Amino acid sequence: MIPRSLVAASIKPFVLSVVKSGPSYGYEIIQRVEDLTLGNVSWTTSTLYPVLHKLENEGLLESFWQDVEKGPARKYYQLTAKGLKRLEVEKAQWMRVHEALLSLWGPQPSLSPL
Amino acid sequence: MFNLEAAIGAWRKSLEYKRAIMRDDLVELERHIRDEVEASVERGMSEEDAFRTSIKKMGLLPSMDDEYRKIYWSKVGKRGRIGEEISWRLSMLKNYFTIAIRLLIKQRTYAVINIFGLAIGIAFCLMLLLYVQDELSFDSQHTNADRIARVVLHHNQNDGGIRSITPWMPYPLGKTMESEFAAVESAIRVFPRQYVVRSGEVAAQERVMHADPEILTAFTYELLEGSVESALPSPEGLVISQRMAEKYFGSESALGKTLDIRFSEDFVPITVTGVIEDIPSDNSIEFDFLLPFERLKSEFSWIANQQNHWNSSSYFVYLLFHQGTDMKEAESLLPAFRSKYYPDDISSREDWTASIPPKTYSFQPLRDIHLDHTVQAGLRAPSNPKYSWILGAIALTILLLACINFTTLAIGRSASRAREVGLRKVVGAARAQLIGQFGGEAVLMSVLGLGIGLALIFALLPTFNQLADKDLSLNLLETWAIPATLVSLTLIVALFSGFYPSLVLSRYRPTDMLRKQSRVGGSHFLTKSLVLLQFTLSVGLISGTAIMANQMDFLQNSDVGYDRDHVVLVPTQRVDGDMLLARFKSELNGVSEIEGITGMTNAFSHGWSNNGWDYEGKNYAAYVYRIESNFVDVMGMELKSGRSFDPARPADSTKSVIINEAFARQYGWTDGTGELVKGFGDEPEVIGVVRDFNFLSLHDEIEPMMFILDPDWSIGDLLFQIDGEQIPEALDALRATWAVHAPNIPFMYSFLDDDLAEQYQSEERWSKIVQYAAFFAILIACLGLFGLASLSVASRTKEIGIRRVLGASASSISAMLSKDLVKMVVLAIIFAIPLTIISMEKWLASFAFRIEIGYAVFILAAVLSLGVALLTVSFQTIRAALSNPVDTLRSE
Repeated sequence: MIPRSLVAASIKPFVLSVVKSGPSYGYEIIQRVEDLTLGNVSWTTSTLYPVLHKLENEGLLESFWQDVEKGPARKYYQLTAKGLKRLEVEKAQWMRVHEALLSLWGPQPSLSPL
Repeated sequence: MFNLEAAIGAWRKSLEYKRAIMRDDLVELERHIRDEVEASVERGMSEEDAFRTSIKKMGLLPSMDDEYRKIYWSKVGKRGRIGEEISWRLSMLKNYFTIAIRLLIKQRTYAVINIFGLAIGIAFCLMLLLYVQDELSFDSQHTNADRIARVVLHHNQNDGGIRSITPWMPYPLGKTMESEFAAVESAIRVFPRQYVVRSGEVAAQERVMHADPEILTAFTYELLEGSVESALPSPEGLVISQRMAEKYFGSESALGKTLDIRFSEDFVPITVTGVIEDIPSDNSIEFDFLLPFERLKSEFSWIANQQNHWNSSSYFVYLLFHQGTDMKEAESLLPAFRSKYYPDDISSREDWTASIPPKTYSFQPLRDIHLDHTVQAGLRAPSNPKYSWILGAIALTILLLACINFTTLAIGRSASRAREVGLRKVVGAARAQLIGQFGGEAVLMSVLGLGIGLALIFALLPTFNQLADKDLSLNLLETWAIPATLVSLTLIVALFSGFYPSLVLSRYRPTDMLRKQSRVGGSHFLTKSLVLLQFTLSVGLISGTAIMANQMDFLQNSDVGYDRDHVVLVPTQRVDGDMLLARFKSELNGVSEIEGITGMTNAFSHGWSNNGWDYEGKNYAAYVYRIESNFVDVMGMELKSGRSFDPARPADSTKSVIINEAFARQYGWTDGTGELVKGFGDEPEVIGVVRDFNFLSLHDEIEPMMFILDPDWSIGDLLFQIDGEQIPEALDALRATWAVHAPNIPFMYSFLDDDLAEQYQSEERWSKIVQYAAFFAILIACLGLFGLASLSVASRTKEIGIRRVLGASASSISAMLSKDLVKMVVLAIIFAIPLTIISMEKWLASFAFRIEIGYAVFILAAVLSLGVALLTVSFQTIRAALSNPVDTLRSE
């Protein structure tokens, strides 16, 4: 199980990355991430939607409504140019952390005697 | 059977009233649930389970609400909801307002207590503000105020300290500075006098000021007739104030009319050349009649003789500096100036060791004159800033008491509002909103308090002006400062009084409130401490007032060492005093209502002459009074040894003196009679010693003093010991005799005891102000107590009923309810005693003759405060104790 703090920290890059491949909606985003992480990263509804609204207000996402045959309409989110730029920044940041951790964990001889 | 549509409908309803979750958001969420349920059902789950799982995954409602709320404001703008938002806010505001007004009406007692208390507090603060504003704005009407300074002389001490600072300068100094200092544009010499002024039937002694004509241009005055440049031609001009123009000439124009002024023996007709607007009371230079300074030397030979004299200082000198002059820099010229005209300053003082010279000048900026009481009183006594502080402390104390009432009563009443808070929270109110609501109620109260406070000010200001000797008026629109202060004062009061109660009220949890009648209320400790503080301040004010009153009483009635009751003082107004005295004596001899007639240079309350001399390298000083030979007997003074003056012995008038005990101590004599006063004049012989008596104010120690009989010193005041039973007759006799021997001059008189009391005028005045303040403070504290008592009785209604049923008597219930209060008052007294002693000792220290603080005042304060407090609560407690237990127990 992944701790809450890490789940919370990763929500923004996850959301931006999922919508990069095309417009998506809340339920689908949760499903995609759950599938990708084998259920390890799972957001509650009340966590995801406010984040989506926040990203929309910041101009990183834009939204549109699409009618569904039955029941209420569905709200789709898609990446804006600004969002794309932000995603690149987020990616670089994650990679930096990721590479640093890898270099520590990789099969390298320890420099200092333990 | 589970119905998905019904379940979703119910779920939607539960979220609909959440303002943070907007309508679109709800649609989005519903779509989410439906998608999730569909997917789950496809995987084989039942609809019911699928729905429940989905709802569970949604997270707890409060946390969801919180998350949405965080981004609420950014969405309002983005989604074009500003109008809706504003109208919603307004309707909420209307609701708050309605609730607040309903509460005010429903809980009238508390509303009245709060608003009245706040009104008094605000009124006092405003008066303080007006007072301080007036004190600080002295002389600000003069556009050149920053360029004007008064020359003052520092009398330095051997150890480098300053003995005194005086504003009197010699005749030539002003014009010499004007010609020698490039920075000085003009020097204005000022000399205040008193002359009898006459026009037809109207005649009176008036304060007349002589000044150089530049005074009208250097200072800023409004001339009603004439122009500032030419209104005071020297030496024949005369400028009078508007009120004097009315007094002497009525509604006619005064310009060109003639006033008779009596400089010495005869009246001199002078034509009015200008009429000036009355000088506002916030001026350190006040005058009703202005004559040219140059006129002095032609009217008085003794002044003409002083024209080149540097050793007699009687004149005030104001300097107008050129634009852009740094006064502090200009002061660097003063030491050289001093030594140029006083080359003997240092050489005459062999004992001088300090690095600074014995006397130095400085420039005192005009705007500093009023509040600098280190410089001796010039044209007008400076004000001691101490009094601004006293008034400030009083005003803040009263405001604090009122705010405490508000806080304690609001917390005490909080139980009755618990349900409202609970309900508001359940239907979605956030804590911030509740704080806003209760804060708003405090603002409403303060605004109402402000309104009544303003009305109070208009009612109280005349009394306050009289007490504080001011001429204040509240002009709301004159400057932005007053309305701005009013608004901020109201907000500060609202913040202080409403902040804590709103925190407490908004903290309640809806579940606690709605489930049971829980015991709610703020911290009991805090309420108690606040009430304790109120009582401590009240007890302190009561005992402080009592101590001040005692000291004033002591000043008025303590034995000063001579008779001061029924002594009439008649100033000779420069008519020959010896002549007058002789006439009065011969004509009123044997008249029953006049018991004694005597005279002296200056009555003790009218001035003094302090003389110093050196003998064998030591400095001696004494106050010298020329008296009539019978003075000691008529005034009822006690001779410690020796004899009084004897008119039959010619030597007495030149070779003899009478001294006081302090004088004998100065010379180290054990008795003094028979000794010679070495170093003074012709070294006269001491023929008698009078017991020390207070000839100065009781603020001062008794100084060495000497009576002489030297006829070269003229008699300035006549004193008549009269029969206390026949005061009007005695005054008539004096007036008649005066009219015969000094026709044309109005008869003036005063009573010695009144004159002496005037020395303590400012103490008397402030003791009165503190009395009023104490009254209001205690009133506010009692009102608060009354409210608290009724609250505590209300919350214990059932307890009282049960106790009654079980057999408690009415008196034991009253005692039980009052017990806490008594404890509180006792504690307050314990706290108040040291506080009072410290502050009152400070005040008493300014008197050389003073009372000691006894325990009696504290007993008085204790009894009084306890009595008032008990009286206040007894109404409530007795009513509760006597009530029928059946009624109280049914009260739910």
